[in-house]
Amino acid sequence: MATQTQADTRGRAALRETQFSRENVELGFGRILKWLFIIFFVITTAFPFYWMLNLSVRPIGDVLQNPTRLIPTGDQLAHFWDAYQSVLVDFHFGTYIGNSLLVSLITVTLTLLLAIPGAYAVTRLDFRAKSLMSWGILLVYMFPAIVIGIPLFVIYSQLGIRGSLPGIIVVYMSGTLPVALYMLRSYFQTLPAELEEAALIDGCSRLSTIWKVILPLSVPAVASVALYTFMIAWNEILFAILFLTETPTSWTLPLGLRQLDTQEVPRTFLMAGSVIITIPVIVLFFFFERFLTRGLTAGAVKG
Amino acid sequence: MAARVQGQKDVVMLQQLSILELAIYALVWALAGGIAGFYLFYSLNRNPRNGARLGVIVGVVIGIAGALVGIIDSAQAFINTIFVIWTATLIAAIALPQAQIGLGTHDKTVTMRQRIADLAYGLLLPTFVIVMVIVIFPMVWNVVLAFRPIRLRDLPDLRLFSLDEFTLDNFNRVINSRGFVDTLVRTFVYTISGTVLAILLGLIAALIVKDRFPGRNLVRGFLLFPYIAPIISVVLIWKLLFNAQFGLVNEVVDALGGRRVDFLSTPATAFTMVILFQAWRYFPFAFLFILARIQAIPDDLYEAAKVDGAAPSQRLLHITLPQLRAVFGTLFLLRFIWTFNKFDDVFLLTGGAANTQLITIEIYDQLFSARNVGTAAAVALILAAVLFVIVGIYFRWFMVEEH
Repeated sequence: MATQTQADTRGRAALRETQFSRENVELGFGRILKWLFIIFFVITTAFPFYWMLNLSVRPIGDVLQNPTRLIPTGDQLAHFWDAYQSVLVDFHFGTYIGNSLLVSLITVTLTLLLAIPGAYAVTRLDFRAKSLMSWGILLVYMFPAIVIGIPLFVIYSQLGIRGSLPGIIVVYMSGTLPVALYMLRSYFQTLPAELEEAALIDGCSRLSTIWKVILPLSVPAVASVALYTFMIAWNEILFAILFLTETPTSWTLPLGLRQLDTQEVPRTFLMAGSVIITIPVIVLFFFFERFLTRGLTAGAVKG
Repeated sequence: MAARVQGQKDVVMLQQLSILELAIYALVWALAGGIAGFYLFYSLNRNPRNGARLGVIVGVVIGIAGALVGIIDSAQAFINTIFVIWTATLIAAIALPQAQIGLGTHDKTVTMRQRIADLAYGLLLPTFVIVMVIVIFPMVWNVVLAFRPIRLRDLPDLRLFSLDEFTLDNFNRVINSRGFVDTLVRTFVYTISGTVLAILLGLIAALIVKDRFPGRNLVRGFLLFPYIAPIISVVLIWKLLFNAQFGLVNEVVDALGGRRVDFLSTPATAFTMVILFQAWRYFPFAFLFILARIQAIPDDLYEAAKVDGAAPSQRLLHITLPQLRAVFGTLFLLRFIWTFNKFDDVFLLTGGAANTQLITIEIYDQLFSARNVGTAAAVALILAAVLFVIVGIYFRWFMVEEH
């Protein structure tokens, strides 16, 4: 029996070495298929963004005449700034960038400020509602945004805060907090408890333990949460459409860009606007890819 | 005489408030007062739970009395009062210990265990409040709104929590409206096909990227672009790529001898387009999950299979895919829920025109085109209920499967 198996294995190994064994044929075929798919994916994922850049530097007349010009002429490149300037100055993109930055940064700060102590409590402190809290976190982030949008619209209208930025920041926080808590909790669980116990014995209060011991150890996790939160607030458009449309002074970048999408506005400007809103995200992504990927999978971005 | 007039006035005010209104006022005030009392007592080294209890009582009394007498009857006054109370508490909580007032040694009745739990509650309360106010409460209150005849123009002086005029009209109107059933069916088709396609693309992408090749890191980065870019900018570039006049895709169609199509506004193609968009935008999410799982499959399994003479395709079919089963299950559930709820993508791409109307866009249309808050809430309630039932069935089925 043993010898038979051995012979069998040897036979198969011999078969595999021949050029047209199933193994080799499939591997060769797989390699071709793999490169075809790589080309397919690069074209479908990266090319649209290149095209966005391309269309943002070519005047609309040229786009209509030469729709397939893949590389802008030198002259067009020399004047690439024109569309961007129009968008920033004539279409108030400066204001929108300011609003978006304000909203995103405040959301990030407040989310971290609440989520770090919260996550610490859920990981390290013992209390009765603990498991309920963990379930609640999961549940909350399944909720349909559009469903809570209607009642919030009514309440915000009555309170007179519908067009205000603080109003929308709170809404963004309600979306980012559960995920931030979840991500930070899974990170804190990997930290050894002995470290902070030493600090506690040395007479540190719990809060200063979080500040002096936990936080310095959690830089990667905090960075992930900050990036994730920033991107959510920076990209968000549903609540911006619902709440801010009537108050142009509070438009965020995505909303401002959407309002630009009308027949009268040349597409070149639209693409310049798209580039402006996309660049920060892509840059952040390339600098912090490692953190971001962790954030995307650990928290599973609500998309 | 004066007392009688006063009494009459109170009676009049009392009749204007429904039980529900009173209950909600009491609840909110209990929450506001309880939180204030909790933190105040905590900072004074007293038992925070006693503070919370006291706060609840004081809050409910102030709130209901204020509402009945008519001082705190608008939502605005409501929020303002809570804001003042909380600010005052915050100042007191910081100032009193500084001034050594009320600060003694720890309350002897509080155990160490309770003190730790109290700290946890203290750290989590702000998050809890935000989630309650912005997510849970609106979710519940949406049910009430769905049964009330409220128009957009009624909003400024609407009595928020009145129980008068309960009616099923909203549901009648929505369900009997033309195309509602079509919209519901279309939403299902969109959700399922978009989800499956996204997972399939994610699987292919993960299989490609799992092994080394030149430029792998760059390709991996590109693969995430559709997912991380702001929705509005990817929608705008899709619109231009598929534009009938100068869209690049139509140039290709032209070159191949086909007829130009306005892909996103032709009923024949628009629905396919929004599904493809969904798959394109969200496959990176599936890709990340699947890749992480694939990389965790031990190499021994493949080695053993290789020794047994299993070809690459057989290894994929009999090792990789079965190992990914659980990930597919989770991904399908998550993507299903989020796609079913998704509003922005299709709304921005087509606005629901050209046979692409979805149930989430219907909610928006009811609110802003029909200007009817009641029917919008009714559609939202239907959406939530359908989702709830499906997820329930899925879990039941999944659990049975697991056992």
